[in-house]
Amino acid sequence: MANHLGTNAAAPVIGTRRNSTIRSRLFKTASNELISPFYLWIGLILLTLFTLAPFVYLLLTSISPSIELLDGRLIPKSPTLDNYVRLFTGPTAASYISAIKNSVSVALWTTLLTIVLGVFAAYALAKIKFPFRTTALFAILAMQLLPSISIIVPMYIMMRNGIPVGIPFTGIVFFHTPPLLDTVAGLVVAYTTFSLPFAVWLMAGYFQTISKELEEAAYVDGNGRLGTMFRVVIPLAMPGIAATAIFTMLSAWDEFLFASAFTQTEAAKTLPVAIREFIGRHNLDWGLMTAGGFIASLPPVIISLFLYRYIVGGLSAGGVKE
Amino acid sequence: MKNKFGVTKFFVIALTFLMLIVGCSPAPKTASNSDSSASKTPDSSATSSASSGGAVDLNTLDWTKADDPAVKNEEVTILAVDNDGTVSKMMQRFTADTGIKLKILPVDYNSLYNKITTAALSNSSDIDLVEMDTIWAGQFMSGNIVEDLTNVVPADIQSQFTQSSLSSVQFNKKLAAMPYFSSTKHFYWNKKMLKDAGYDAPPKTWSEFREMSKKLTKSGQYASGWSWKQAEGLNCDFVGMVYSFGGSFFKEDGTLNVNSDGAVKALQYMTDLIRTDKTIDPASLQWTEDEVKKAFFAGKIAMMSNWEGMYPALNDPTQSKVVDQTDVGLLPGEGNVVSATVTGSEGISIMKSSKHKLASLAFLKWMGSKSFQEPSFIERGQYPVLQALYSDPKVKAADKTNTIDKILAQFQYGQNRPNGPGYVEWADILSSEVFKALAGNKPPKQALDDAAQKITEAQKKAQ
Amino acid sequence: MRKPAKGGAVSSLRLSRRGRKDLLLAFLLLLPTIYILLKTFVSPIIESLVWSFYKYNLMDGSDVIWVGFRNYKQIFGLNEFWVSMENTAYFTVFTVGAELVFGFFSALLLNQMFGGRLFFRGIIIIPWAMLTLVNGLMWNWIYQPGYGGLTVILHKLGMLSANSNPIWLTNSFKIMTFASIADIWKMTPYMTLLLLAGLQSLPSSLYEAAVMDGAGFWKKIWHITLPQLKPAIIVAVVLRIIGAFRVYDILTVFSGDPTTSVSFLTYNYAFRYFYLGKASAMAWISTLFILALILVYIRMLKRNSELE
Repeated sequence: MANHLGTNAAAPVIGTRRNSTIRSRLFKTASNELISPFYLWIGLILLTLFTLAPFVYLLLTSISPSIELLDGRLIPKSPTLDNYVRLFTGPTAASYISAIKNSVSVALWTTLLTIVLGVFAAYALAKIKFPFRTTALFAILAMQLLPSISIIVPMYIMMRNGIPVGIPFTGIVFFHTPPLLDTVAGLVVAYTTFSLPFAVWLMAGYFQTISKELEEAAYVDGNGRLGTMFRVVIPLAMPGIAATAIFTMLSAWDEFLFASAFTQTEAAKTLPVAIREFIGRHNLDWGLMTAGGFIASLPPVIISLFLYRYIVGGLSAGGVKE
Repeated sequence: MKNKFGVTKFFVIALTFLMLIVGCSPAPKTASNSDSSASKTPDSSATSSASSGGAVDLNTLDWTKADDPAVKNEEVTILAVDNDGTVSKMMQRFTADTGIKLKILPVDYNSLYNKITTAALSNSSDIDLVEMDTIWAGQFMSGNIVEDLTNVVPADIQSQFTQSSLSSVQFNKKLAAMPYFSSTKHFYWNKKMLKDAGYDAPPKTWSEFREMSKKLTKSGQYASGWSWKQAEGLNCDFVGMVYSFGGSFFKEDGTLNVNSDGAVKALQYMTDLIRTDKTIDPASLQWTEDEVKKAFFAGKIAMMSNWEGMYPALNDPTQSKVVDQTDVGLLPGEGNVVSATVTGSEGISIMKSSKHKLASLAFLKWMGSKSFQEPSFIERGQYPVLQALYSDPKVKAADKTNTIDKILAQFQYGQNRPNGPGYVEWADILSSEVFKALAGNKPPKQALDDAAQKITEAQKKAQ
Repeated sequence: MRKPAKGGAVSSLRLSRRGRKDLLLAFLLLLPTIYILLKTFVSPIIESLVWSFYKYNLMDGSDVIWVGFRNYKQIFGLNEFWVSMENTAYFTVFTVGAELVFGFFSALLLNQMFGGRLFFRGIIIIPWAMLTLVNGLMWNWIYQPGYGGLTVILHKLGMLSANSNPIWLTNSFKIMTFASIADIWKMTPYMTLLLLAGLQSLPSSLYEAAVMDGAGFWKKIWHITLPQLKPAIIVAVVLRIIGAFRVYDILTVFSGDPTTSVSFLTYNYAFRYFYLGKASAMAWISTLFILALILVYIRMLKRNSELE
């Protein structure tokens, strides 16, 4: 690779070790880095500005009294927490609070189920050689392409009738779930279906990066396949699993279309549905909407902030490699 | 995605697999919905006249049996718009009045249509009653989603409703729902701004409106604002405008006609206001009714056309900057037309798939009576569907801003949108073309001709 | 996954005892996932495929009849379909392109060592973690003419003269562009994360040789970073294309114009006009289209790297 550059002598300002003025320090790029501190900080400031500006605007709107909204003011003249008070004490408070609970349990259960099932599948795809392995992996990725819109109705019918668990095409049914419409469980089933392919694919990628040697050693020690998987591969793959969990959780938290179709009452309505209900036929309660939207965005933001290390770390080694 | 074998293999496998499943799965269940609803139709309409004496069939639609004590043990489920829980509270009185249990599934208006149709598509009997917007009547009737109530609700009951609320829940003279509340668009104006421009009275005709608009527009203030974002709100304004310019959406033989002379005149007028005169807040092209309302409340526009329910909020200083400066009245007309407006009334329908039809009917009977209609106005400001209530002393007393007569006056001029089974698709086409004209991308005449042609095509393709 | 080429049908005949046991284990491990996907995902999809060959109009009381490929033919002749495809393609190219560029540079920034890196890495996640619905409504609010954030800021910065008040969303091109901006804002962090992950797996001594040779910033990027990052870029772009091509939610906030995206049009056909047969056909056409697109894209990149 270096050959390409070998003859190039367009040396920038680096290497002038004599004057250690601020200026040179600012523009000097460390040998293993790419960007000099000056440009780095310019970039970071721009990044922060563009990332935060709309979000801060949302926040400021949510603390504006409704009469000020159309003044074209960026910062409210008389800020008020009225919208938040209304959100948690007004007539819609009960449904909003139950929506938070539902969202939390839907997201957690979906994540748990997806990870537990996905880990096995990912392990098989990443660590065991069998025919059509690559094909299976590709098929799993391709599933993401299929249009979710066209399966709402068949899925709705399935949810309403309950899902029979048995051997397909034989008529043998071991167990028939109760109707899942308007239940948290129904949403968990639907979301698990959508997140499984991506989760399997992501984790399989990570598993592949775990060294063969460690695994073989454990295998030779008499651990068998499953033992190796639980004692060696899964602990080592924790960052990858955590990253997958976060991706799964965020998408379950965010989903609207299916949540809207499959839920009817406070028993199962999730946050996006509850927020959508602030929109009336001819009016939109902008204050409630922004306040509700802000609160609803907090949990994923906070979780991501705490676990960001895993998000990047978990993807890094394998997730994004083929 | 590793090698090309993987890809080809995947397709081969997938294809085999598809064939396997398609081969194995029973013939598409697609027909089941229309089958079952078709089989249900005869007995439900037959029983309404035939069943006399003996045990009460709880799934029959018989008005006279709706008060039968046997119904008391039933529970019915209703899907209705409720943004703040007040509708649910009001409807719960049904149980207190009749003993029949009521389960309310609150929903937001924008999700209502999808919820009804998803339930219908899956042939679900979970929902007995649904709120129906006037524009869905044709679809719900032709699609066999809701019961035909024409011969179920007695004629003397039907005659108690205001004409506009009754006609808006009918399709082809068939009653698709029980009237729930009355609604049209109205004309609101800012008295102070009009006075400042030298006018003591609101415009009576659109020509006057246009002239006054020119004087009312100055820096920081536009004469009017409209809900002309490409959405249903645009169709609503357009329909009212077409009828006030003497147009109609139907030919004499009852077929749809979107490019009548009146329609072209109306669209030309709308385009002139926004593109030539520039007396309309240009943001109107991005506004729905809600944003128009906000602009009017903020004193940025002098006149608007909007639905009921602006009062008492308009006189609440925490929400409005135009307290006690506004009034409501008839939308302008033109030529022989005194006024014309679009109806937005709604009804409540009984689902075909319901298994508690008698109890559902009992709910409709209660909902269409004074027991519900009166408190609904007094506590929620929804306009009653019963003619008699407009002179009811309690209702009058609750009308603090003295607007009920003005609102009622406008109801007389309500025009329905064409609510045939394909309405939703025609409406999308119409709003798209009308918007193009308003945005200056097409001359009005051509836009409407294109709309007419596309609607004809759509009707043909649906066959 | 370096040597799976052997794993064809042929090698399965020559499996050792351990191999056979492995095969069984693999099958058992995969079983729950396969079962769930078959049950809740694949069978509805098949059902929609079956529907696509029927005339199945729910709301006009007509019969359900087998029409073969008529739905497909009609959709290929449908002007709206092609307009919506065009708009979707524009949206996809614009958003994925911009997200790639911004995401790449953000990833470069955040991959450096500096004080407070934690903080910056954290905050970029905010847009991505926000609810899609809220994001759409928020941008709709920002784009309000007159008093919306965009107009106000442009006025304050003097980039718009005081008496000019543009209307941002007046035709489908503008709607697509402004919706793209909203999507770019929300999804760039996703791209950043995927690329940052790719960057982290590269050795830190990567640039040292090039520095000795005195290469500049752009040279380093072009000759070192990009080639090394290619696998991560491929994956990130594929994932984003899949997501962007299905855009729906955000457009519904901005306009009732169904030709702004294929998903929007499909949705309207299915759940507003109830041409379930045609809607299914439309969904299948667009799925096959995007599948082909992705295959071509991967193939092209493959060939590219083989040439090098």
